Amino acid sequence: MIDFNIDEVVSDLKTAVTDILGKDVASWRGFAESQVVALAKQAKLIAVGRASGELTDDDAQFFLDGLQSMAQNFAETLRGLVLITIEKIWNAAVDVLHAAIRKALAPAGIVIPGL
Amino acid sequence: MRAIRALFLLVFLCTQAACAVQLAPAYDKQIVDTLVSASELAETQFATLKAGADKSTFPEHAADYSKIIGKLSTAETLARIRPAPTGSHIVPLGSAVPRTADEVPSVVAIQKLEDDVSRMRTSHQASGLNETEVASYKGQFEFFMTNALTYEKALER
Repeated sequence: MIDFNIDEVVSDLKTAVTDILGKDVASWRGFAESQVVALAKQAKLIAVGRASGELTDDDAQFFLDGLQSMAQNFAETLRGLVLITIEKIWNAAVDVLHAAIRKALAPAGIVIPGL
Repeated sequence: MRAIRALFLLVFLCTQAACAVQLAPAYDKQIVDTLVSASELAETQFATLKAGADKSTFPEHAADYSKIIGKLSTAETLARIRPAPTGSHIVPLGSAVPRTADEVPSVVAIQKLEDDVSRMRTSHQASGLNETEVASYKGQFEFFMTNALTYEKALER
């Protein structure tokens, strides 16, 4: 009979997930907060610049199109960061489970290649 | 508990290599270094031109524009030649995982950076730049550079 401690595995899984999520969410938050401020500042710059005539119609259109691209790329970058975190969590969970299986099978001398 | 048992069975049936997923491209330090270098050159240019510049000054700055665009093009090439992540077969996430270089957020950001500096160069040569124009190009550049560097640095996992 193998000794497989479910509670211990659950605890290890929770630790792995919380560690990764805690660090990554904090960094997304910092990134998102600073980029949202940057978007607002750029919008103001365009508005003030156009109103004062410092930016021509052509310039203003380029920067307004740019603002739209900025917002879109920001959303895509955030999505990319979330995917990286999901990947880390998935792979960490696999590591925890594989380690638990190896540990449970070791006393019986069973080794599964590749595990 | 049922979920844990199901997960246990899943990973028991597959090796470490088969179970691991990749939802983003591999980290490449050269891309990060090239972007940082481009950023340094660009910020120096923005600082030099902060108060604006007459079109007659363009020849003194032409080489600097070329260096920035050259660095950005190199970063784009390096980002494009990376293999796509292998995780697009995971059904719930498949469509979100980049399949081609054009779907990688940092590649898009780098293209926008090239557009930004190219247009600034063209404007400088054609009609000169005023303070607001320089600030607007700088704001847009810094935004896309932040996106690109944040994503590329996060790939080191």
